[in-house]
Amino acid sequence: MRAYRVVGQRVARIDAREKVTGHALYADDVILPGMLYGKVIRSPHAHARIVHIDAGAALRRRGVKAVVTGRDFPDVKFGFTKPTQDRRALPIDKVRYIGEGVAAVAATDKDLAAEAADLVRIDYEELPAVFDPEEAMKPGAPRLHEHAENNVSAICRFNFGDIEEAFRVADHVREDSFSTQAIMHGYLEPFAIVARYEVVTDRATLWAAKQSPYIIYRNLARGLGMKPSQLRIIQPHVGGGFGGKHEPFDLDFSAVMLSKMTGKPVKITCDMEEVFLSAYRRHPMRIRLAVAARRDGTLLGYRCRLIADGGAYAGVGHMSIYLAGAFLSLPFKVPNLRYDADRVYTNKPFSGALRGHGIPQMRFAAESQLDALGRDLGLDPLDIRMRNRVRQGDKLANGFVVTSCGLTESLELAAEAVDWTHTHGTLRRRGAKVRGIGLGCGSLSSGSRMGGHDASTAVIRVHEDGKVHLLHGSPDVGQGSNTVLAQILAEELGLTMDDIQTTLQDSDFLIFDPGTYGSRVTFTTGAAVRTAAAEIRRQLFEAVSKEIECAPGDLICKEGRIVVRGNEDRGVSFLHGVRLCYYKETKPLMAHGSATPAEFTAHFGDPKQLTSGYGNLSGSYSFTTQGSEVEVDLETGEISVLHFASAHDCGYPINPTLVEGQLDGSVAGGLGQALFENLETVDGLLLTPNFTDYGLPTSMESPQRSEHFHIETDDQFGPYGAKESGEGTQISTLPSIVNAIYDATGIWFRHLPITPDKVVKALQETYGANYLDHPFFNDPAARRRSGGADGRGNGRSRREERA
Amino acid sequence: MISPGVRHVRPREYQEACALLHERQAAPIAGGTELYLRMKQGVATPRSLVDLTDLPGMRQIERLADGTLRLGAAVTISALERSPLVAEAAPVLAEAAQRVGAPQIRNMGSLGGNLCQETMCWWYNRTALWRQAKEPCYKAGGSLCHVVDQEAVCYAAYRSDLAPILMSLEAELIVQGRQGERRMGIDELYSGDAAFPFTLAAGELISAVLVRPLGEGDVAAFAKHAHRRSIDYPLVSLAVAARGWTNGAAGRLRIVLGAVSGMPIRVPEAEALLEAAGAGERSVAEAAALVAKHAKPVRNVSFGAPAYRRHIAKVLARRLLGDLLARRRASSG
Ligand SMILES: Cc1cc2nc3c(=O)[nH]c(=O)nc-3n(C[C@@H](O)[C@@H](O)[C@H](O)COP(=O)(O)OP(=O)(O)OC[C@H]3O[C@@H](n4cnc5c(N)ncnc54)[C@H](O)[C@@H]3O)c2cc1C
Ligand code: SF4
Repeated sequence: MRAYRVVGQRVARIDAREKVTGHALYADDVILPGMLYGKVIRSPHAHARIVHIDAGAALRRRGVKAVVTGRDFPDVKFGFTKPTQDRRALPIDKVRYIGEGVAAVAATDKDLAAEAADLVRIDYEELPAVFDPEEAMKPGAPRLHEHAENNVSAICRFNFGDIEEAFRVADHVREDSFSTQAIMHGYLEPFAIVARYEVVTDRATLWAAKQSPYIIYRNLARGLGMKPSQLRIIQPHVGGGFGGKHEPFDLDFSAVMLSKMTGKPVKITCDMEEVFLSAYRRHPMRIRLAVAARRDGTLLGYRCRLIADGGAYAGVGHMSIYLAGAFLSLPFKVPNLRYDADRVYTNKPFSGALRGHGIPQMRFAAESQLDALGRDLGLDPLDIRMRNRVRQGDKLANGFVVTSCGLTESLELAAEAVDWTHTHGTLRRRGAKVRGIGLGCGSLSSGSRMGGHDASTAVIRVHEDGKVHLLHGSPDVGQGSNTVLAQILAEELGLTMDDIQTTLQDSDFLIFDPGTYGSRVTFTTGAAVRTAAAEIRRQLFEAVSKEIECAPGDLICKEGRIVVRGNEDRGVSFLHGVRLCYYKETKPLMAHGSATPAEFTAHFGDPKQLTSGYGNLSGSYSFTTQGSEVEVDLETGEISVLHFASAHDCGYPINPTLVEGQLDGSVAGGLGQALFENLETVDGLLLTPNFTDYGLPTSMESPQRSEHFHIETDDQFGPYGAKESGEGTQISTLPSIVNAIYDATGIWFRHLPITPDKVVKALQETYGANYLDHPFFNDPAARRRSGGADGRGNGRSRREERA
Repeated sequence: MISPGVRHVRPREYQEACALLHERQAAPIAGGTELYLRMKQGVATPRSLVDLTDLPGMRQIERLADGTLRLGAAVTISALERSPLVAEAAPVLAEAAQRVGAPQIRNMGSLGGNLCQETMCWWYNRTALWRQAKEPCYKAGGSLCHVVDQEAVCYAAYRSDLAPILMSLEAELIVQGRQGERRMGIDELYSGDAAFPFTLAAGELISAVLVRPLGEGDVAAFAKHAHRRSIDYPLVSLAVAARGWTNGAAGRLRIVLGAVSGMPIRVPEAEALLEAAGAGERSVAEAAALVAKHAKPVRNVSFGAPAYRRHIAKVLARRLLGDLLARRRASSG
């Protein structure tokens, strides 16, 4: 039985008060004396040569101080890995998508900057453009980057086990095609930066809305031709990230350069439309997936061909397609895997990381296919999942090692919550509305090893008044990680939340940390906090042991005191201990600790590793099952999500309320991708460039009832046994909903999003114009016989072929 | 970006307001929820804004001596939602009001502004940055339309949620001009040209909307279909009002479709079908088909696939009209 006082408790977020009262400082709130305002000038063309830029008229306007273009930056490209270094601070030769930043102006006020931006004349020579990834791969297609033949920006070629044999011996085979759309992160704070270049020291200070100062710092420095140590990044509060604030953008480079040119601080804040037009988004993927199975539902192998629409630049896209393939199997155990993926350049904003990063697309395909497999073989989809589930100790075909696993319990709990055995496959109709339930499982790495430095570090300083200060390198972008880290620290030192302070990141003070991505913060930084706290304890115990004459090893921190274990009346207050350190020992009470799960994992910053795909990605994996119930209005095609039950193994929930917030947030995110959101473009021009047109689901669209089940599996590495809980749960949401719609309507939607117009069309195509009268919606016995799928190319089954 | 030099005036008398509005590039403003957005996008560029909210009676809801419900044009949508007078005289109007945008929009947005909101099209109602990427369309002074590339005709959609229901209730408008005030049917507000949707002359403004209350035997209903349950504009809306419907009289029906054209559309054929004595289930289906036929949506808004919107027009019609007929039958049986 665990007996923690702070950890495991539903403590309030430490930044709640600051945020709800409007006192939290965001990048756009920063105002410096003499500050100028910048505006980025964006390309109206999807693909065009930049012939000439004439800033004369703009510069002649009073109050306009500078104009920066790509030529003002050093001739270097930056990127995630060497082969994918394809971006510049600002382009010099050509533009590759509508909305790409080409130049920027700085002026004394915001309106003037916007006016001046209109005065900069840019002559373009339009080039043929390509928007469809498969078109882009054809010989003779317009080429976006000189180095990329056929516009392929990255590939994966995995081959584990013996795939030919798996398909040869299988009783049943089916192959299906899927597609997913581009979606936005949906953070509410647009990009913003304030940059101040200091001539004397030749350094620049940046206040920017970013997720990971370290990644930004390296790429930004490279694009600017500066050394990382010349940049100081101060992290204000961040209004949401979801993976969307890692890359440095046109505004970041421009603000620094404009500041250098004018000698004044420069602020650039984008409006949301600029974010929609220029930020990276989730990769649209086309997936062809063949599964080989035994009659009893045992999965023998997957053969997968994937084409990802990468947009104009590589970004971290190699990682994205690696991850899609890496999770072709997990959360199930499939011994033979073949995965061929190409990530392709097109003339659209580039694709990158977004909550779940590449995995939700693949799991949508694979897990909804499991339900179709169940129908083919006459098996219960729950049984298929149970049969193939991974367990603790499993090693997967691609080298993943499962050290702790609560998948079994999660399947049981989620299935029970939606009353699976009695409800699935039954006809539940009232008027024009039918209901269905679905299950989806998911798993995610708790952090992974990417390029560069990989350890998290925490620095703890104890003030002489007894307050404890924590500094670390992974920004809290709204998920609440600072609260969790403070809980860990309070627990370790026997203090309360009120005793802990945290400061937002400042690269001049902190020790570098990869940052906030890949669901690594609680897992890795949390472990670092524990290590550092142990060192603080050591120093305290040494001082106190002298005072009360005991062995340091006998001391413990408990309820604000440092006491002798087993004789808790003997001891001193924490504050007294602190003062002994400072005043008697005359030593500062501070420590740092770092942690990395690198010993367990392969190094995925290496492009060769990403391409071939073998190796353990993470120190640990979370597991989830989500059961959902939907109601489909057969007449309007509208889908309401009535109930969502998430049964989640995050090892140990350090703050159950925050974990539940992550669960509900991922459900909202997954629901958005399943039913509502789409970045629709025509000839590279985005038709939904604002939240009104884009249709992000609101609280009104969220599940009417949501349930959470925490499964504790006590992980070997994570603090208090905790694993990730930030992204994994969004992975199971898509298949859970898609499968519930399948159950309700008998139609398997394989192309996202499932908007009402598609639902109506599919109903008409599957069951005829008078579909409401079709036996499927009237005769319970008819349900197992009929049904269909949206679009052409329904799955091929060997049984059907033989018949 | 809104040009910094815009003048904002707040007259207290109609004569002054109309004179100010007659000046070049002057526009009336009430809540600003619609106009400011267009100004930010650069598709409206007024130099002076004439704020109507202080004009006499503009924010008032009252019942006139003859029972008529008089709604000041600057009354906010949330006031309509909550007004006991509206609830008593035309509860359906409060229901429709509740479906407009989101609470924040309704707290600021006015009735007059709702009726006078511009038509919308996703190729046009865009920022300058976005519009640069596309040749200017007919409405923007160019010579083509990105939606229906045949002739110089604009197919933008009029998406007011209050107009259809007010039209079905045969509401009247009080229009103030430099020459004094005039009264007209709400249907006369619309020109039929989506590029210039209103018939108001320069210097004119709407000061009030008059609604004959629903009496005994009168029935009205409103349905709206949008992408999400809140915030979104309608993809299709349908209003029906029947006077003398359930008290055995002949009955007079008004069916009005919204959001699928440059103005609200009445469907007289469907009205006639159901007004006829002996109308039954089959008439409902026929009437619904007629409604769908009148809806000619085009691909001008997001999530607004035309075939789907036509289908929804039919579904809404079937639901509302079926209900209407059931009520007549119930009252006579
Ligand atoms: C996000 C969003 C969602 C929305 N959703 C909906 C929706 O679902 N349904 C819907 O119907 N509307 C919707 N709207 C439109 C909303 O702006 C209107 O409903 C609102 O009522 C407009 O009122 P206003 O007073 O703010 O108008 P304003 O912006 O002040 O004016 C709008 C227009 O009317 C003119 N005008 C204003 N008052 C008068 C008058 N008395 N006489 C003559 N001309 C006048 C103005 O010159 C201007 O051209 C939405 C708007 C937004 C921004
Ligand atoms: S319908 Fe055609 S003319 Fe009218 S605004 Fe849209 S693109 Fe322009």
